[in-house]
Amino acid sequence: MTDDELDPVIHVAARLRIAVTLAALRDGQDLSFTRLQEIIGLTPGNLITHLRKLEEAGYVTTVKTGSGVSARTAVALTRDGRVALDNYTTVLRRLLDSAGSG
Amino acid sequence: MDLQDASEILREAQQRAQHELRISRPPAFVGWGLVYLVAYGAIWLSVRGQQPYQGPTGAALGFVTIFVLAALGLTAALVRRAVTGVGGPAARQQRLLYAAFPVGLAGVFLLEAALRHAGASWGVIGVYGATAPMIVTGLIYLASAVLDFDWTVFGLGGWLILAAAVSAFAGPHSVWAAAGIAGAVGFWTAAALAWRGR
Repeated sequence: MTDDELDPVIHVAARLRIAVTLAALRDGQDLSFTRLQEIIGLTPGNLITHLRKLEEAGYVTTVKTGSGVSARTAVALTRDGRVALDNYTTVLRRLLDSAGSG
Repeated sequence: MDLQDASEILREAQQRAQHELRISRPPAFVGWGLVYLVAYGAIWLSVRGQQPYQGPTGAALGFVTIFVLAALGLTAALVRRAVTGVGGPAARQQRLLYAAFPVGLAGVFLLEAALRHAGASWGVIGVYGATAPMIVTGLIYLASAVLDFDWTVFGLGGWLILAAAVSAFAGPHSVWAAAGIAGAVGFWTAAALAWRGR
């Protein structure tokens, strides 16, 4: 991936929404799977698929705790994920600017 | 997905995340400024003609209690929405901080009862009752500012503590007016700064 290319892992509507939502959390915070699903508006199956892609790229972590009714899956953006989203935003702005001036 | 779509999704997702996961400080600060002005103002109106000072009337205390409880309920609803589903060490720190506020206020009111029990005059109780809750609130804001690296909140906390301490010199009648106005000015200034910094 060159400096002028958008990260293909993030450049998918659902994954962009996930990354942006998790980036709104402070360092040391995570979000439950169910709340993330509620904010993004995806089905559980779709959300799992996209989270897996982001996890494979090292951009998010998912941690399961508890069992039964008290089970909770915590999703958080990693440092690499935050950097990747910042880079994505910078490249996107640059591409939009050059498209506008061209 | 083309560039315009990506830009629109980015903007919309950022707005949604801020709305869902962050407490919007400007309206909360505006509301609490109003609470200080109305609650302290109501007590000041009920004590201003008293010679000697005897403390707020039951009606004024009842009005203030209902008014403050309603404001606390609204604040709790705002906070609850922002913290639902949020976990991790930073979220636990924040919850402990929220819990510290009622604990601090309970200590203030117990100490007020103890002072009265020890024979403190109504004048001393008046000065204490007007300023001690403000100092506790200021301390909570200072702690919150340290966690969030937020200079506006740090300034608000420091202002509340300083304003409470200086207002105490106004005496048991006027302390309610002085502290109420100073509290409102502090919250509204913080609201303006938080609004500008968004």
